[in-house]
Amino acid sequence: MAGTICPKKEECEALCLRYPAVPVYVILKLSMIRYGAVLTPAADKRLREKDLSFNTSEAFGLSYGSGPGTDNAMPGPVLLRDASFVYINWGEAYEDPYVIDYDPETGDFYLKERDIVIDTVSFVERPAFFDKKTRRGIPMASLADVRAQKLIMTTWRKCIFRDLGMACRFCAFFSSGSGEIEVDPEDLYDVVSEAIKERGRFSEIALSGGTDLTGRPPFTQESDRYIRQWQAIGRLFRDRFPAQLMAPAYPKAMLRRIYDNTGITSYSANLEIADRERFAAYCPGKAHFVGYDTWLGRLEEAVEVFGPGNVCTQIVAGAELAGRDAFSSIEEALESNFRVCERLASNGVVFLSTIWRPHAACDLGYVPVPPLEYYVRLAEGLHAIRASYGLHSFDDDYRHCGNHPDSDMERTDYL
Amino acid sequence: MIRQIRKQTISEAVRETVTGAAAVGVIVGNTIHGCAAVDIEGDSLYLSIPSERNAGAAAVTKALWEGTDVPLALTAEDGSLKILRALPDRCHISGKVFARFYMKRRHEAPGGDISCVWEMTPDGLTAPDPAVVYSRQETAASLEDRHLDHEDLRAL
Repeated sequence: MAGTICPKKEECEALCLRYPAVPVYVILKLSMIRYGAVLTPAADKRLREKDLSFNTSEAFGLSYGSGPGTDNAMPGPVLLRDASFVYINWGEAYEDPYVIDYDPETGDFYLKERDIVIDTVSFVERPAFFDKKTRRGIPMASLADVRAQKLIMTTWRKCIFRDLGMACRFCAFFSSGSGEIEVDPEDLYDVVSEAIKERGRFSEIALSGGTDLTGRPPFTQESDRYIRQWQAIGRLFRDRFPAQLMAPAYPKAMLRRIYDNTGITSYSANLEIADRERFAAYCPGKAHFVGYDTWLGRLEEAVEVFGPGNVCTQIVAGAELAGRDAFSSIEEALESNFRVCERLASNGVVFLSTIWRPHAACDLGYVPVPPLEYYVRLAEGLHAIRASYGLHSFDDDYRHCGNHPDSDMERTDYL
Repeated sequence: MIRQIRKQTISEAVRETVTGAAAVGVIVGNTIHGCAAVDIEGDSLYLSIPSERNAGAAAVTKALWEGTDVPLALTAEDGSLKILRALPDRCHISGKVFARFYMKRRHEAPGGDISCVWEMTPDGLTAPDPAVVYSRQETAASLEDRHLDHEDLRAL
């Protein structure tokens, strides 16, 4: 298609030249997340077929509008050719998205901009256990989200911060308010038991949920609940198994109790916003009930329990540049993220980015997001800092998680 | 920006060399980083990697990212070595292709595991430089690399 202008492709190519240390597939992944993607009717039709169609409910209670990919069944995760995962909010009203098309003759999905083929992509297949129910009659597809190798279960489906009007301002999780709040440990056992019957299908389990402050000290009831849940899952395993708890910043004694009584290998307590003042502004609940310094301190203490590289924290990249309390410049935002990443890396904590997408149900609403170059510079910087300390995010790498462009870059650290 | 996949018919010489290989690895410098297996299906080569935490696996990933090929060391039963340059086309960590080679590995080497399977296009056979002495390095899948269904993780 001579003369077809493809601004996203041109932008990616320019960024590849400007940042040669950042792999082309990481830049493409960031571009796809930034600009989004929509399905052609041919792709949508293929993705509604049994082997590729996923559940209709979303693990963290997010919901989108109607249209291809949303009103019947969501597609599974998108994989680029290097097997890196791209998170697409199917149904979001993107301004200028990529297009994913399907060719029934070749059986391939094509990522396109206008009519220009950028590359082939693939979709994770529907796991076999999605057709099963637990002993309690719960459809397993409603209990789990999957990526290529990761099994994610949200086990507490509300957040006290939202109830108190102190929800993180970028967060739309648990905004639909539907369904059972607490997932029974035996349901989790049933899901995992069925999931691992599919040989080679999963290499990581993650549990997470909304915040529950109940108990003395705070989080006691929540941490006890996670222990019961992990112990139920743990009946399937001999000893430790690749698994991560994503939870608030717990005191060290609470973490020690979790580690000693379960088989998990990793813990992530998400800071969300690296800057102290903006942490208070964007995460009022976390700031009030835990506090910025305590959060960082608990992350560093967690390394004494789980070991270096097995404690993570994530930021919702882009949110720090959105809304009334945003940084006034990209440089300030980068400096803030790199400073905290460096501090945590020097203490064995892995500081990761996830890419924030606006949502109508969050306090920030639909706001402009930073330019693609910001995310590229962020991924490059975070990876370089962690690599300088010899840190690898095993449970959050491209295969065990896939949601972090900076950890995707770790694949070539061994050269 | 990204090298497109261009499949071509695999020559008989390549087929024979791959089929007759007793061991395969990715060459980085003077080190052969052992891989689990190499197979040919249709016009593609499939390289099974036990663990990605080594320079060999990293080199294959880098080659896809940069649109280049990697040298694979194919060692025959008699110890003779040939080098096959191959272009990485796609990395499989799930789906039918991965499942097939995963089960093959589990059957052939109980206790083994694979992290990923690289689909590749052969790019030419060469003889090794006789002046180069290669060392061999194996990186077995560690307990942390295991898939959750692996018997080393499962309750007895």
